[in-house]
Amino acid sequence: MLLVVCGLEDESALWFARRAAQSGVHCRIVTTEALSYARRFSHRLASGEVRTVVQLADGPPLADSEISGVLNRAVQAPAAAWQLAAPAERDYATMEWHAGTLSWLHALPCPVRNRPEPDCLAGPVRHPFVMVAAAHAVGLPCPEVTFDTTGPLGSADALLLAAAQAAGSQARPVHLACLDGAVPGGDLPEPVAAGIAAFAARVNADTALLGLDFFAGVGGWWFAGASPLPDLRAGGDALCRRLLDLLAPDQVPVPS
Amino acid sequence: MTVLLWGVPSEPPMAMVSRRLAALGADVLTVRPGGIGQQLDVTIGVGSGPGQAGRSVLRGTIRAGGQSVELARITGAYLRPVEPELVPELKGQAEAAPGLAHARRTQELLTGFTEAAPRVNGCRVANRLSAMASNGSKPYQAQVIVRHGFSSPDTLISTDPQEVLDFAARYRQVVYKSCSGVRSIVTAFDPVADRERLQRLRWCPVQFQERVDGPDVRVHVVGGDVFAVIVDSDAVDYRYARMQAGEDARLRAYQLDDDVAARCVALAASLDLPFAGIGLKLATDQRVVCFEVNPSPGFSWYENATGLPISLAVARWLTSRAPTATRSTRPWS
Repeated sequence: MLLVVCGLEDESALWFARRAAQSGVHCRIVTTEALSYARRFSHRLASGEVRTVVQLADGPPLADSEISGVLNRAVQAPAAAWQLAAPAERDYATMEWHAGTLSWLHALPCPVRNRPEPDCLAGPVRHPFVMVAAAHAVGLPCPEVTFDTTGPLGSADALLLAAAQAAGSQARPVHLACLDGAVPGGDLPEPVAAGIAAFAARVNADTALLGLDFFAGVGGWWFAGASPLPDLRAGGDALCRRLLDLLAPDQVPVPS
Repeated sequence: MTVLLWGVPSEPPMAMVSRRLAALGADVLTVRPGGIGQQLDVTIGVGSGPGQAGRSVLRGTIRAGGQSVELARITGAYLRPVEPELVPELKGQAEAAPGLAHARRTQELLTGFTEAAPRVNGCRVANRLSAMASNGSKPYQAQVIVRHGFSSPDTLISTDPQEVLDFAARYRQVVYKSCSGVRSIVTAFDPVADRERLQRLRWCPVQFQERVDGPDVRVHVVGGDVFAVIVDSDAVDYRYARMQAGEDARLRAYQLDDDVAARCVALAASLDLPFAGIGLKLATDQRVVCFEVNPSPGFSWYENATGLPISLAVARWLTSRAPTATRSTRPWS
């Protein structure tokens, strides 16, 4: 069974789940909202082994051995049930659910994209300074941008704006869905394709899904940011096929 | 060369490291959380265009309390920041209040600098905030811990009261505590007295563990150096020994077995923590059980009680520039 873990309004993840189901793949969607109302969450660690059983409000229990792969796009801890609680109680429960969910998804023996990291359930998130330094190091053109304590924009937005300005007025935004260092179906300039593979390795995301933003314009493609939550629709059929090969290898592939 | 101290100057660990740095003759730049009580401005330039590959990608200055330091001069950083929302002077301020907005902006820029600087500038950082996040999930840490040859206590995190009772029945005694980074007091579980309260698990999982008998050992890892303290106490949670057992825990320096010491160093390095506090238990059944790795150890209690020179080791590590900028186990740091 392919598991898709995401927020209720993650259209990109739901699009992929629909495509998987249309392909005949047994796919189950677990929203973080539904997880918050789980009838049972059991996470056992003993003698170096981890076993988890999650019983949602409907459907059969989710056991580790029945999951062939996971598309994980959980951003928030599953704490929807606590949204009206007193802030201190809500914050405590949110952190406990974050801890349990992180450990569960991290421990799964099957392929997981993205496997969560301690500072982000959805996987490799890096500060914009780290991303720019990595992009620069691998030869992807980066805009010069200065951040200071009086600036109106956050670092990610400031980087995006600087890239747009560097690429010129005729530039077009490009969003790429990168899986394990490659962009399935992407018709990219060769230096960019090689740069993306090196970038993914450099930020320790060479076995991860990444969303990469560029502005294509003057002087080529300008790096504008990255996140662990690509719009999967940008990858189309080619990305779907690669993901299903990885996460549901014994099931029906997407017809080309 | 300057060492950045980012935290509350009067807090004991920060104060002790600051004094050691002064004794070593190091230049120090202190940045208070939220910049409270000091004029604080940060300017950071990143990136470069095509054909400028040799140019530094991290430039700028930090101005704090009348000092102005170029980022390139900062070769070490010790971090114990407080989130802006929790700084007493900023607590309760409206979202758009200028003081809170400035504090958040400063926090974001300093976080970015300390995340990127180890790789870009060769700066030594203890510890990067992203690396500290592993403490937010004890069961996640446990998975890393067992890969380094330590035992981890049998653990159940559950929302199911009956499962907890069944688990407790397997052990002489079971304790419960937070499984996140929230500080909690380790408490013995009483299957009879706590039975009704178990119904509260329904909405939030709670961590239960077998109680392991034997002395606690707290290990501070500083780079490749190890400082161990053994604890004598009857309390379930020795940090709260006076409350739980009627008297304070007694601490003394302890000579750790070489193999265990090496595993502690490797464990801290695998979590990308140059400075870590590792909680061990020398179990009576011969296991070396590891409970957690604290990424922001409040070491002052242990140093004051034993005389172990932990703060000196931290100060020396911060002022010893890394031979290369890429020694970390993680390629971006």
